[in-house]
Order: sequence, then C-alpha cells, then structure tokens
Amino acid sequence: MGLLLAGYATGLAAVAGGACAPRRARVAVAGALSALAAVLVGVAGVRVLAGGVAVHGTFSGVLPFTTVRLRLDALGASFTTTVALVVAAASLFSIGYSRGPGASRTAVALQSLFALALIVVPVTGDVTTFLTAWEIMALASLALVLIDHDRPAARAAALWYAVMTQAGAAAITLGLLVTSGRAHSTSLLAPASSHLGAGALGAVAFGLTAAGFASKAGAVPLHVWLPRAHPEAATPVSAMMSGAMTALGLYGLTRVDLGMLGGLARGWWIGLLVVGALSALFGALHAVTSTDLKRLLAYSTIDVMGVGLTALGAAGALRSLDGVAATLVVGVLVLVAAHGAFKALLFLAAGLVERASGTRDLDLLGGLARGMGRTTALVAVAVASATGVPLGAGFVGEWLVVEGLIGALGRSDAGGVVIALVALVAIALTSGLTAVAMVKLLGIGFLGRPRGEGARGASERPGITIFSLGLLAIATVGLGTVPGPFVAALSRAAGVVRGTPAGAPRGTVASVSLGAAATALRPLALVVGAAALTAAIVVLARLGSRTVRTAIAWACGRADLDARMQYTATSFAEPLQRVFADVLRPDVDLVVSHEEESREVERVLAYQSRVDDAVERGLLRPVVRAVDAIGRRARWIASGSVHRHLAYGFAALLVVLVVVR
Amino acid sequence: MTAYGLSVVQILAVAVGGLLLTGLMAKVRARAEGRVGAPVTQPLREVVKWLGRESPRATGGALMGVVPVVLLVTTALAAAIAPLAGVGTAGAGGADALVVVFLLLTGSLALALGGLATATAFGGMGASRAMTLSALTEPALLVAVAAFAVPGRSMNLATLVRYSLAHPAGVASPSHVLATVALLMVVVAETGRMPVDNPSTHLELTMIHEAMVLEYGGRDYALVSLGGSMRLGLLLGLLATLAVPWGVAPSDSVPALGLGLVLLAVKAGALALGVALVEVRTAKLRLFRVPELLAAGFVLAALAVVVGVVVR
Repeated sequence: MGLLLAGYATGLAAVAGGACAPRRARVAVAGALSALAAVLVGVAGVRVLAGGVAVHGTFSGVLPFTTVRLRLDALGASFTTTVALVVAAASLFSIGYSRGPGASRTAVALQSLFALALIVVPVTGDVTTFLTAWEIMALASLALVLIDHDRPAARAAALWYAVMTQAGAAAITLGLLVTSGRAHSTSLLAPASSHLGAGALGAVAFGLTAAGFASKAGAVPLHVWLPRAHPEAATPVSAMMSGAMTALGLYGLTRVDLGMLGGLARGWWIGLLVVGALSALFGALHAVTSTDLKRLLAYSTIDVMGVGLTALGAAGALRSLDGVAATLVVGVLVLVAAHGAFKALLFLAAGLVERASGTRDLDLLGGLARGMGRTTALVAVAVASATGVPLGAGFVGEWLVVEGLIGALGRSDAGGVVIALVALVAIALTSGLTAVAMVKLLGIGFLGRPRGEGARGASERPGITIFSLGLLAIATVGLGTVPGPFVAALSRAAGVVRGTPAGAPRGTVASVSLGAAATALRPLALVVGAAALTAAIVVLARLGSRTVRTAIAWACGRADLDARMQYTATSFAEPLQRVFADVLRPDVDLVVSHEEESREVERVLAYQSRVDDAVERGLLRPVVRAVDAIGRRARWIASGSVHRHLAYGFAALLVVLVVVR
Repeated sequence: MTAYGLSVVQILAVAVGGLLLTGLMAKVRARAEGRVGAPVTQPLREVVKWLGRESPRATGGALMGVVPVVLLVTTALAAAIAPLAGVGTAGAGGADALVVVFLLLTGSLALALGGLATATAFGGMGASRAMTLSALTEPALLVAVAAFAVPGRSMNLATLVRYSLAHPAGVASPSHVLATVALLMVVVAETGRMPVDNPSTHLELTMIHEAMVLEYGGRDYALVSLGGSMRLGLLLGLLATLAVPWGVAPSDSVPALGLGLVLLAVKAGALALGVALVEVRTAKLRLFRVPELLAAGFVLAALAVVVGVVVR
C-alpha cells in the first residue's frame, strides 16, 4: 500500500507540476513525475503478481460523502502493470517530444491527470471509487483531444468521443448500481451469491455494463470515436489512450461481467462474442485499407480489442469447461499486455515519423529506414509482435486464446463446438488481415524509397524519445521469450472467473504448458534453436561467394526507376479491398479523359479510392439525424417558462414516489 | 540416435528433399507435356552453382541479405521440431502445431518485406498479392489443423502423431479425409503451385511468389530459392505425416528412423506427383477467383471439425 500511495502522491505532484512549474521546466517535471508515479504503481503491481497477496486500504475524507477504497489483487495487478508500463513510456517520451500546444499549461497538467487516472482505475476497490476514477480518466482524455481545438477534425472527434464516453459512463453507472443493489454491497469483488447475473435484472446489469465497457474498447458499432480521437490527440496521449485506456474496457468486462455476474444465460455471452468477432474483422479490414499512419493504428486497436472481446465472450459461454475459460482469460490478459507495449511503441513511433517528415500519410512516406534507422528497427520489433511472429509477445496471447478454443472443440456440447469454431475462424481471419496491415505499415512506410519530400529529409536524434520506444520493445521481447512467470501469475488472476483456476495454463521460465489442449510453448528453446541455425546458415552462406555488389534494381529491365513506380499503401491493400468490397463499400472514382483527336488515346487518368466507415454512414448517421429531429420537435417542452419547469419537477417527484412506494 | 541428431537429419532431408521434389514436379510436368525435361537433380545443382556467384543488391540491400536467412532459419526450425521421420525430435515437447504454422508465416512476412524493400513495382505487387492470399489462407489452415487436433485432443504434433499411430483406423475416418483435402488446398496455395500461382511463369504480371524475389541474384537467390524448396518439402512432409502417419518412428532406434525417412520420402514424393499431375491439367485461376478456392478449403476444414466432433 505504501508504494501505491507514494505513486499516487507523485502523480498528484506531476499534475501540480504541470500546472505551476515555469514554462521551460513544465514538460520535463510533469513527464518525469508521471513516469515515476507509473513506475511506483507498476512495481506494486509486480509485487502483487509475484506474491499473490492482495493489498488494500480504505480512506475516508478524501472524497465527499464516501470513502475511497483501493484494492490491488492479481487481476487488477495484471492490468496495472500493463497500464503502468504504457504510462511510464509515454510520459518519458513526452519529455523529449511535447512542444507547441501539447506543452501548454493545460495540456501538460491534463496529461498528467490522465496518466494518474489510468493507474488508479484498476486499483479501485468499490463502485464509487471506480466510477470516480473512470470519469476523471474519460474527461481528462476528452479535454486532451480538444487541446488542438482550432482544427475542425479535432472538434468533430471530440464531439463523437464526448457522446460515446459519457453514454458509456452512464450505462456503466446504471449497470453497477443494479449490480451493487442486488449484491447489497458496493465491492467489486466476486460476490458470495453466485447468481447475481440470473434473471432479467442480471441481464440488464450485463447489457449496460458490457455496452459501456465494450464502447471503451472500441467495439462495433460504438467504435466510431476511436479512429477519430486517437489520431487527433497528441502522440503521448494517443499512445496512452490506445495502449492503456482501451485495455481498461476489457478490465471492466473481466472484473464486473465475468467476475461478478454468475448465472447469466449463455446467449448474452454469445452476443458479446459476436460483437467481438465483428469488431475484430471490421478493425482489421479498416487497418488494411487505412493510409493514415495513426488511423491504421487506431483501427488495429479495435481489431486486437475485438479479439479480446471474442475470447472473453467465449470464456463466458464455455465457463463450465475446466481449463478452457481460464486459458482464454489468461490469453486475453497476455494479449492486453502485449498490445499495450507494441501499440504504444507504434503510436509513439508514428509521432516521431510525423514530426520528422511532416506527414502521416503512408502514400507519401517510405524509405525512412535510411534516416530513421533506430525507429525503424524498433517498429520492426513491434510489428513482429503484432503479427504473431513466434517470440513476439502478441503470439503468446494469440496462442493461448486459440489453444483454449481448440481445446473446447474436443470436449464441448454441440453449442459449445459452434461457439468455439466461430471464435476460432474470426480470430484466424483477423490474424491474417492484421499481418497484411502490419507488413503495409513497415514495408510501405519505412522500407523502399521515399514517396514524398518530407520522407526524403526525415531524420532522428537519439534521446529520451528513442529510449522510451526501446523500453517498450524490451518489454515486448521479454514477454515473448520468457512468458512463463507472467502466465503463472496471470493464472492466479484468472481465478476470478471461477472459484479455483482449475486447468489454468502453467508457466515456468522455459515454458508455458496447457492442460486444456495438452501442449506446451517453449520460447527459450526456439531462441536457442534459431540462434544455432542462424550461425549454421551464415557459415554455409560464407562457404559460397562472399562478394556483394551494389547494383541498380533490375525491375524487369527498366533503368529509369523512380519512387512513384513503387506500390503505395493504397495499391498494396487494393486486392483485399476488392475481395471485401461488400463489407468495406469503398468509393472508387476513375475519371478518364481522352485526347480530342482520338477516343483511343487517354490523356488523363485520375483514380481515387476512399473507404469510409460503413457502420458510421449506414447505422450511426441515421441515429444522429433522428435524435436531432426529435430534439427539434421537442423544443416546445422546454419553453423557458419557470412555472412550467417547476411543474415538471413536481410531476417527476410524484412519479418517483409512486414507483418507489 | 539422439534427438538433436534426428533434428539435423530432418533439416537436411527437408533441404535436399525439397529441392528434389521441386525437380520431380518439373520433370512430371515436362513428361506430361511430351518433353524430356531437366533431370530431377537440376534444382540442387542450380542452388550449388548460384551459391558461388556474387550477389547484386539494389536499394534496401541490407534487408536483401537478411530475408533469405530469416526464411531459411524459420523453415529449418520448423523442420527440426516437427515429427517427420521420427517423433523424438529435439524440442518435440514444444512442437506445437501453431508454432510451426507461425514460423512459416514469419518466413512469408520476411519475403513480403523484402519485396517492398526493393522499391520496384513488381516487388510491391508480389508482396501485396502474397499477403492477400496468406491472410485468406489462414482460417482454412487453422481450422484444418484444429480438425487434426480434435481426436487426439492435443495441438502438440508429436502427441498427435503418436495418437494417430496408436489408432490406425482413424486415418480412414471421414473427418480425417476432409481435413487432409482441406490442408492439401492450403499447401497448394502456400507453396505457390497451380492453380494459385505458376512457379514456372516468365510473365511478371502474373507472378506472386516469383515477383517478390525477382531482384535477388547470385548467392542471395540461391538461399531464397533453397528456402522456397524447403517450404515445399516441409509442407508436403507435414501433410503426409498428418494424413498417413505410418512409418514415423516412435522410438529413436536407427533402423526405425531410417525406415521412417524412406517412407517420408515415398509419401511426400507421391503427394508431389499428385500435385504435379493436377498442375498439368489445370489452368491458373484469376487472382480474384483464388479466394473462392480458399473458401472451399475452409468449408471442408470446418466440416472436418464438425464431423469429427459428431462421429466421436
């Protein structure tokens, strides 16, 4: 508890430093203090994970009308360490990065407040503390999206985000009220009565909380804010939003819905699974077709969170199978940790690229490997992790989830088989599409030749920014090569799903083994094998010719090769855009004008392709229009007459009295 | 023989065998078309010849040196741990089917990045097409693997093969046959054979795999082409082992392993013969028709799982 309180005190000092420190020192003071706060809280999380003993404390007089309850158990600690890692890296990064509007007093103080709220949310012990921290987190991030409010895109993003996040918070509040009313307790611990989720009220509680938490995790169709708001925020903030805040949506689902609402009908979990599968595919497809670097990353966040939601839905639906649910939950926890590290790295790198080249448009980038070698190498590590290359952190999470599902195939009833199969297929297709998006990001953005002026002149300076990227890369590689101890700790965290973590994955330093699918992952052995084989192949290659000659690319005989002839992000994704045209509904314009002398000779060819969000266009816009229309019609209700408003108040009071009696 | 010895033997068998299978398929094609064709050992000789040649490298040159090594290391690692001649390989305990699948995927990613690094139109085109197909192959591949895993209730390849050897009747079960066919379609797509990709084409616009490696020359090309053949050998060998595991040595005695190796060669050779004969008789599919083929593969794999669960 001491470490936690020291962390939070440091976090408050960071907010104060951001608000009061002189302009020159502001960014450094706030960034360093925020990072220190995250490290302290992260260490507390690691200690809980390692020891398995929860810490808790109750403080009255901090908030009016209520006491503040903090509680850090294994489940909370697994999210706390992830969030703390992301916050620490992003805060360090901002020391070397923030300037302009991102370094204003408001921005720096708010960023520190956001960082503080992020490391508080998974440590809260009761409903009121949780909701307070959650709301501070939401409002601080909303204000941060609006920092650059001169741009219309930022205002539009903030509006979407405000509506989604506040509606989500309201749903969560109502859902938690119902839950704690039924449990006669405001604790967030798994309750003694195992049928909190039974009946209509249980379904209401699940629906409300799941919708609220899933919207935070960017589930379709409540995702619209995410690809707008994440790119609009300043780079360190978008890294925290994407790597940490979305993860907390999954935390809420695991803690409240899986942990507290026992006895819920299977159909609700299947609903969550379907939403997750759709989100994963939708996010992955849009990541494939996006050409804006940060937008691509934001959609890829929807995709990973979708996989997480799918796995949680499957875990809930298959919770009667020993081992399966626990494996799936541990898989989600690992996935969240891996995603936090690699996605924060990618967002921070995207910020560096934007600063160095002046653009985020992949179609104008390329060839950054030459001037930004370190960034490129670190991005390659993150990309490897994101695509599920063995020895990357993402692979471990995906492996656990897929093994859990395949384990369910062999021993479940017919319904369970269908559930596992659907989840498996969605995750498989998503993982294939993610690989395409990530190859595009690295191959088009950083390799090849520069496609624009900005990319040609891009360069990097070693410093704290690269250092913070390096921290995240080390975390990714560490989790990928030695996942055992982390998995062992998380298996205790998965105990929240059922009373005992029967059949949960077991981890040692060298391996992760599963009872559910009778198999094991031995990353360290793979590392040794890969090293030995690399040595052997390099020796073999050196037996042959050692001469390497720099030549111009052959390119089938064209000597006058220029950068415009390369594939671009748009053309790279074109085949998949065509295959999935029914889902993506791209607007493709091809304008051909001809020479006047002959219709056979083309003069100008203009090709334009743009993929709008079909869900936003087809589903949400009509809703917005309808709400708008109702609002206009209903104006006469609020006429401004004081008497009338008093009458409304009296009528409402009567209704409440009648209902409550 | 020790586990490490067996792994080394398997890597060498897949390397040499892959090249010979490539040669065999070219030979079958030539004979079917009424030509004599090059000897079966031609790819082997070519790789040895190219190994001694200097490597011209274009822009992104550093990566062109790394890509072949990544391709070879991942393929060799998969060949080392998978049960091909015997189940007692080094790292058999970690020979998870998903690990093997994702090791092969890593090789594909490296090739695609190499194609983009050359900054030519064809490199990008090949990378784009290869990644598109690889994304669409993944569901069929994973579900087919799951179908094989269901009866033995394990994703560990060595455990699966042991189970299959102990229950020989399972080889003729409907689920097993369906999964084999689905996996065969995946292997055809992954190794770039007809009707998905034409490995012997000289028309760049129709290329997929070859377009990505157009810029490689000399020693670099020798390694890339060895990697491609090894993938073919490994995938055919794995398919043969999963479909008909007879002969895979459960013990580490040298005669049993020798027999396993010979039977592996026979099974993989028969598969290659079949694929080559189909190849002669089919035309290459249009790129945008390939997803339909892969969807068919996926449906077969899903059926295999469902049938496997119902018949159980």
